[in-house]
Amino acid sequence: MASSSSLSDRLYHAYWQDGSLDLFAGLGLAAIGAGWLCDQVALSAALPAMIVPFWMVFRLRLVEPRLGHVRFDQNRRSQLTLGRLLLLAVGCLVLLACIAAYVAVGRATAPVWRDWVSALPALLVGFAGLLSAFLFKINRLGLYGLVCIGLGFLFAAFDQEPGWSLLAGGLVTIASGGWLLRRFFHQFPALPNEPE
Amino acid sequence: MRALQFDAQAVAALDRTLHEPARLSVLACLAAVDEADFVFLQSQTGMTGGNLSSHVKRLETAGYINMQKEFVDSKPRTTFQLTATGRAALTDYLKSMRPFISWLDEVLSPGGSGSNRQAKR
Repeated sequence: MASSSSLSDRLYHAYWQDGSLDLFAGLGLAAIGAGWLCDQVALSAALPAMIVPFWMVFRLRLVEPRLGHVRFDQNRRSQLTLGRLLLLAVGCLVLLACIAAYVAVGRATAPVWRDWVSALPALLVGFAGLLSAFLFKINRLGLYGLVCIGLGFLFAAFDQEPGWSLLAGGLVTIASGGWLLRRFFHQFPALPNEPE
Repeated sequence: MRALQFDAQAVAALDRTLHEPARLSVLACLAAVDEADFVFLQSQTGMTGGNLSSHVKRLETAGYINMQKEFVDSKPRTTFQLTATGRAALTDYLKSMRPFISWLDEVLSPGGSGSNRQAKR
């Protein structure tokens, strides 16, 4: 028989398997990338924050009627709160670092720094992905992080704007989220109202 | 090693409210979280609404779970929690089942008393 904690883990993972988090995180990342390419870094960096309420409404309207509502135990709730706070702090640092990198790309003079500085935003986003995977115990977020890091180096090697690696990382995350969401809708059809 | 004894009386005395896969899975789900609503239990156990409804009613009558009804966005939401009685019953059930499972494991394992009996035939 599965222990209570492993069952709790299974339920927790089931709760995050709908793909909406990936889809909206991907949209946020792609928005930063697209904004960077359009020289609107500060504006696009604010977009992910604006996407969060939409994600919450999406979950409430489309995911919860299929998956239901659950309140995890105190220990897990504390972990989630701490994780969110840490991620928010890292997100702010990433935002500042992205803006700093944007400025640095224009001013870089040392050849090595100039070659690899454009990978920096993707590396920071990748680090945030790895940290999220660790904090929230959702392994695929770490995979997205690694993909972002890889794309960062790849586009930097081809001397491309950092926006391309963020846009590509965002599109990969959107594709994965879309696939998970499609599977979720297939697996969990909308349930009729509760019987009285 | 001394062979494990099969305690038929203990098995016969199992809590029938719990000793049913659907109700056991509902209680197991609720034991792992603080509270869950009807839809969550339905999505995790794969039961139909009517079926789940009858099982949760029985568990509530036995005092193993608490049920709370509320309206969220003008839709009814029924939330369930495992009670202290339910947790104790689940622990007792596990305690009663454990020796039986060990005995069964011994009987069914290769080289166990069950396979020896078959070999003698």
